[in-house]
This record gives sequence, C-alpha cells and structure tokens, in this order.
Amino acid sequence: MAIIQVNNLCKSFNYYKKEAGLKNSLKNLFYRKTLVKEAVKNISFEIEEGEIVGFLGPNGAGKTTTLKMLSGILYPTSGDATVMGYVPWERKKKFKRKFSIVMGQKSQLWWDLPANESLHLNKHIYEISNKDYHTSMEELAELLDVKDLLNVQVRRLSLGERMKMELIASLLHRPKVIFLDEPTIGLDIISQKKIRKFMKYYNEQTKTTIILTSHYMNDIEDLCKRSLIINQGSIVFDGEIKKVNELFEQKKIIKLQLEDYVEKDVLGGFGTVKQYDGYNVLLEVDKRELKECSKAILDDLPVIDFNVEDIPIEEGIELLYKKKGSVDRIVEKAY
Amino acid sequence: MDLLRNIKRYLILYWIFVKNCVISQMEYRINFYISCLIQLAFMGIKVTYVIVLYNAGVAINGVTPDQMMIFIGTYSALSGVFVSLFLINFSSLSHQIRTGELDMLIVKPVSLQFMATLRRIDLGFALVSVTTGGAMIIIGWMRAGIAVNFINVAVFIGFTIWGIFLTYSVFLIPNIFAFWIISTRGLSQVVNQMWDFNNMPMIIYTNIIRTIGLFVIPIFVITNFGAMFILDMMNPWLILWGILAPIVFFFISRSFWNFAVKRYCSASS
Repeated sequence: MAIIQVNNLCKSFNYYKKEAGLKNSLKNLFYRKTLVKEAVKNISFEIEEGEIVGFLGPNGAGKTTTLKMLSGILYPTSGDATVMGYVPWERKKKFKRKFSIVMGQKSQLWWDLPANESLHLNKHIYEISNKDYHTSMEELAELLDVKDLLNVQVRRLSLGERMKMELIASLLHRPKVIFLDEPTIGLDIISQKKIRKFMKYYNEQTKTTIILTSHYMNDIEDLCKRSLIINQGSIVFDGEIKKVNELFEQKKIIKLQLEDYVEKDVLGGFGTVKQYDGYNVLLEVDKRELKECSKAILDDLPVIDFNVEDIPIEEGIELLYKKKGSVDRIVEKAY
Repeated sequence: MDLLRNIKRYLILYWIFVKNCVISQMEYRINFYISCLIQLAFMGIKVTYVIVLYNAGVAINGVTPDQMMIFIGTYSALSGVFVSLFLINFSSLSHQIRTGELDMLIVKPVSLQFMATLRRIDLGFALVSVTTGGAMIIIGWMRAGIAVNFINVAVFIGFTIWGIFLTYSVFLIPNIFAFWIISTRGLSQVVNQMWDFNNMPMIIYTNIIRTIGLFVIPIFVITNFGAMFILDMMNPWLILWGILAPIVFFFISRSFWNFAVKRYCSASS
C-alpha cells in the first residue's frame, strides 16, 4: 500500500482585489468583492515508501499548498488524503511524531540561541530518549559537517549552515516521511550540492519517503527518480523528469562549431536557429529529419565540431508551465 | 498516569521556554534594563495613587487606604504577570497567523495552543511589578491588621494563582478572532483596557459594571477575590464563582481555539 495517497484533493482560498489609492481603500472599507482562488484542483497521486518525489511547478502553482495539506497545516476544501494511514488534517499527535516538514523560508530555530538549544527543545517535544537524541545529533551533525557550529547563535550562522541546522532539527526524531519545501532556496551551489548529497544518503540509509519542491533542476535531477509537475493547481506531469520532452514535439538540438563565418540566413535553411554568433550555432531540428539534416549540414557547411543533444529539460518544463494541456493524457504517457 | 506524565512533560517544556527566553533576553542587555526601568516607572505611578489615597485618608465605600493598598498591590503584581506571560504571546498571535509562522508550530506533536500562546516569556516586566506589588500587599495587610493565618494566606495565594489562570482565558478569547479577522489590535485594546478597571476594588463601581466585570468579562474575579476574602467581603456564592469561573472560561477559550484553528489558512511562502 502506498505511504501517501491523495484523491481529488482541492483547496480554495478567498481573497479580494483592491485598486491602488486612498479612494479605493475607503471604498474597500465598506465593500469588498470576495473572489475565490482554486489553489489546488482535484489532484490525485500515490507515493510508495522510500521514494523521493520531486514536486515542480511555477510560483503559485499549488506545490506548497499541497504540502501544507499533506502535513496537516491546512484543511482541504474537498478530497481525501492519507499519509502513513493518517488523515493529516486530523492533526493526530502520533502522526506528527512520524513526519517532518522543512520550509526553506520558515524557521523552527530560536534566532538568538545556539542551534543546540532548539534541538534540545525538539528532544522534549518529540520525547526522544537521551541515547537516541545524542546518537542522532552526533550522526546528523557529522554528516552535514556542522558539529562545531551547534553552539553558535543561529543568527550568526550563514544561510547554508542554518538550513543544515533546520534539517537536523527536522530529522532528530527519525521521521518516516519528510516534506522539503524549497530547502535549497537562496543557497550557493556548494551548499546546494552538500544538502542534496546528504538527502540522497539519508534516503538510501533510512528508506525515508521524501517529497521535495524546488525551482533548481539540479535538486530534482540528482535526487528524484519521479517528479510531479503541478500547474495552476492541477498535476500536468507524473513521471521521470527526463521524459518531459517526449511529451512535446520531437525536437533535437544540433550544436555546431564552424571554421568560417556563415550567415544566419544560410543556417536557417537547416533548422530553427536558437543561438548564433557566426561561428558557434545551436540549431533546433525535427527528430524525424535529423538524419537528412545532419548529412546536409556536414556536406554544405565548414563544420569543425558537431553534436546532437536533447532539448534541455528546463525548456520542456517551461513549455509545460505555459501550456495547460490535457492532464490525463500527459500523465498516462509519461509514467 | 497518562495525565501526570503529560503534566510533567508540559512543565518541562514550559521550563525550557522560560530558560530559552531568559537566555535570549540577556543577549540584549540594554533592552532588558529598559524593560525593568519602564516597569519601575509604572510602579512609581501606582505608588503615587497610594500616596494620594493616604493623604486624603478617606475610605471609599468602606474600603480604607490600607485595604486599598492590598487591592492595588495585587493588581500591580498580576499586571506584570499578565504582560510577562500572556500579553507578549497574545499580541503576537495575529502576526503569527498573518505571516504563516504558525505553520511550524502546528506540525509539532504538542498542543498548538500551548506552543502559540505560552512559549514567549518576558521576565523583565514581571520581576519589578511582582516585587513592588508584593511589597504593597504585605504593607497593606500589616497596616490593616488582617490576621496572618494559614487560611487567609492560603486562600489569598490560591485565588491569586487561580486568577492568573483566569486571566489567560479571558484575554486570549478576543485574540482568537485573529483566525478570521487577522488583525485583532482594536478588539484586544478594548479588552486590555478593561484590565485597568482592576486598579481599584470593584466595590467602588456601579452595579452594572460590577455585574459585567464579574460574570461577562470576569476581570474583577482576577485581582479582587483574594483581597476580598481576607477582608471578609465574600459571600459563599462569590467564593463558588471564584473557583468555577477559571474552569468555565478555560473551557470556553479552549473550545473556541479548537474551532478557530480549523480556519487557519496560513500565508503564501
């Protein structure tokens, strides 16, 4: 049985609009037209124990709202979900002891105190035995390389160090399910990489189920075999992220380095010119015409170097973000 | 057994909150000293009331200046406790709801109400007012010639502690509206101002104000009942209400909180 089951989950929020200016504020004081935003619309999916699933989508797509419903922070407008057999929004203490949520933009650490004070508080909140507490803290601090920073005030830590402390605070009680909401946001490449490496190792060792939202493709590509893409509240893709491009027209990228300067118009005859400086060119061509096109390029142009590549995943995802296609069709095709 | 274990667990957690807050405040020494000074100034104002009372030497509705001192002392001590333990949390509740800070508390396997309404403590406020308020009570008690026996002391302390418990519920209720209206500053200010009615014994007020202050928004139960008991001004019905009111209002605030929390809609991340 899947550890996370989501069936037709919906969440709507009420909001209102207000034009700029004092006059409109006064008007607004007496009359507000309530509008409804459907943040999440009938989403359904299942996640097996031990999976790391990437949750992608543009800003405001409904990723965080979904995670908040799965962690019991929000009540859904309709639909069902279970996490480890619990209905999250019933907020049972037994459920809360078994999962963790890390939000890149929200902290659970006490700002003016060293991180170990917050960890000590979590020890009592989760009723962790002394032995387990010390073992977990030592192990996690060692893995994340922050052993020497545990007694430094949180406000004096760098963003990356702070995020590592957040991770330790969230993992102390050995949760079975972890929701990571943009854990690498704002971090430099090295810190991102370290956190990714840690999460990968942690998942392999403990078989913890992880849902990860991130805008960084490296996070998703490195960690997640499976990704869910959500757009405007609906799931538009469920599958291996590398297969995103297969959903669209079959295109290939030809990367050329030319010995002599060639006019852009000439190159346009072989495919769509995506990048051009006279000597280095990126051409987008139809997959079905790749063979003929390649032959013609090699015959007619002064080619020094020739490479055929897939369209970058980011571009496929961008198309998915822009194009609100038939959800069922895409999900079925990719997974 | 489970209840005892839970009480012990929550007491340990509360002790950690106190410890963490004290450590945090000591990081900002100047702020800590200023808080104490503000309280001292506040107490200075209260003392001037007393001086005026003594100078006038007039009994109000049968309450002598010495007896009045006990009421004002209790009010002063509990004001510090109210600000230090509760107000600091209640006034930030709306901020926590507006910014979605409550998210990280909801997911903890501890009562959300406990975490959201009790985890901040500012002892700077309590320290001065409890000391000076306590001194006023003792002076008033001695000068008024009230017997210092077990019953008087125990009931006075009992009503005062029970009053703190009632303060929590009475002043939390208006802040819970933040789950709907987000900003509760206006509403809370109205209720918080009512606290100052406790500045004087309730017998100086009219019957309507007294009834409201006893049964609708029972602020008089908080600081008046201890002093009224030792001054022999309580009837059995009032004693019974003094015992029941904190339980009734805790039940109301708890139910209202549980109802409201379901409406929490967090904030965009």
